[in-house]
Amino acid sequence: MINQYLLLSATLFTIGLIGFVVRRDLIVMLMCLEIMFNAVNIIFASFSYYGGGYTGQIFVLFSIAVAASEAAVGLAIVLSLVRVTAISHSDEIRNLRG
Amino acid sequence: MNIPQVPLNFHALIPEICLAAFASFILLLSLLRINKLFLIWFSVVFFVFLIPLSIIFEGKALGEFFLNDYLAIYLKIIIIFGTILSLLLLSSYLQSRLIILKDSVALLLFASLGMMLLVSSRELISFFVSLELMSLSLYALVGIRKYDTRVQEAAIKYFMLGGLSTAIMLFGIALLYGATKVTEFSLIVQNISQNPHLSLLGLSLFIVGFCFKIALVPFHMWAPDVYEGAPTPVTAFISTLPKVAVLGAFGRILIEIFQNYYTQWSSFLIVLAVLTIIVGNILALPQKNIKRMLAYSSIAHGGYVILGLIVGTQAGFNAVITYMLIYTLMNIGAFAMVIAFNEEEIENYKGLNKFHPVLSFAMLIFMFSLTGVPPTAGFIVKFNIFLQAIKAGYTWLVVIAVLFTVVSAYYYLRIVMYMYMKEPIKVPETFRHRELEIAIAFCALGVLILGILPFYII
Repeated sequence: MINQYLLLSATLFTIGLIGFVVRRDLIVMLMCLEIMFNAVNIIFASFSYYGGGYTGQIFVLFSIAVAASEAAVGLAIVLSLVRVTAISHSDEIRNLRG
Repeated sequence: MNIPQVPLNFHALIPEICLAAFASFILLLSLLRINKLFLIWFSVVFFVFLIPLSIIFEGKALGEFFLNDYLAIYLKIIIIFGTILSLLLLSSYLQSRLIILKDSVALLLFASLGMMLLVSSRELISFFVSLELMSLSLYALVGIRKYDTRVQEAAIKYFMLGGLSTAIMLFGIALLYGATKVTEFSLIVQNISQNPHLSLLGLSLFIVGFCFKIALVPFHMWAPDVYEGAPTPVTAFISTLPKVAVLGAFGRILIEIFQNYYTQWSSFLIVLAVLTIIVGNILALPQKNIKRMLAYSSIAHGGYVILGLIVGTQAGFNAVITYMLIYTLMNIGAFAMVIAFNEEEIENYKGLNKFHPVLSFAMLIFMFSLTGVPPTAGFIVKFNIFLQAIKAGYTWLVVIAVLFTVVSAYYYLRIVMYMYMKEPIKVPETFRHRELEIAIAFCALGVLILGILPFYII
């Protein structure tokens, strides 16, 4: 049974990773980061349920909190970038190159 | 299932608890109309008091969540000194440039709190949370200057790639937890051979996250852009201390927990070390912006440091830590010089000796130390790392590293040559500031004294 959960979370993580690499919209990239974090949460919960004790579920709580604060910081940075430059796509960032 | 019980022995955490309380206090204090310079010196004095505090409180905290042993204390002292120097550097910016935000002081304190927790964490949850406390503060710190395109772009790049590396590393941690069913490092060591394939997969993802954080080639793309774009005091901070903390924490994990997998991770790191030394040094050659040049140089230094980890022994790891101490001093010093000269183009360093002989001499010391020329401390620590690598039988690796150290002499000593042997092309508008000069003097004296009397650190 645990294999299905692992497969699900690996699929979700891959979707997030591919989305992060392929998509250029900064907000979508942030969403893909969240998908990756949630995929990891599924692993923790399923390992915890199948014989790992409660530590995994505690880890999920911490990981959710960290993901939330990461999203807060990320949105603040994106907002501040959009205010200055009106850029919301990663391929338009070209002032720093080399 | 049994509910884990955590004993509440938090004596070893007292320095961190004090720092957390102090950082929150500073955050409140910065809401009032208060002199920024006072804020900086207040924090500096507090950090000086933190040194004896972190030496006194040894031992375990919260069960086995944190362990404050002599290696952790050594790393914490490096972090404290680095934070003090960065605070002094930051004060020069608060008064002159556009950063009016006092929050940057609080963010700096929170980042250094995360680092201090990181180097003493002995458990996956505390490890992950302190790593994120450090990273999140750093993302915000990079973007601290509003209405500046370069700063905001640097912040977004740092955040995106940092977030990606965190996600990958968290995946690795989850697999490691699945393979061993525990999160304490001491128990992971016992259980790691139960599921060798899953542990190995977890380890590889873990290492990828690690390489992102310390900018090893090919995971280095963010470093030059972020280091160039960020405000210079912040660059000095993020190019040194996170590397100290991450190398300290990860190095102990690799050497103590993954001892069984030594052949796998060391062969992976050997490839990365060779790539990092070659690419970092070659790409530093054509740079025209000194911050970008120092960024590539710090990537290359990451490659040298990894040699000490590849050795895989405690002696090799000690060499890594002493290297990071000197690296912190000389890199913060070099960035302080960039602030002092108020000039980012390398061309404009020509003939500076005619106007500012003392500052030029300090720059000369830092450049010699970064190259690894005796009698500076940069030579001693680099020699120490190479010695450990040769003892472990990696002579060919050391030969490559030494060859590329010679290459690195070109771009470091070019600045010295410009300053001393070329005619000036313009009168420099140097930036004089008391705190900045204190920081430069401290770094320069540290690099010189520890170079002449190295037995204090080795």
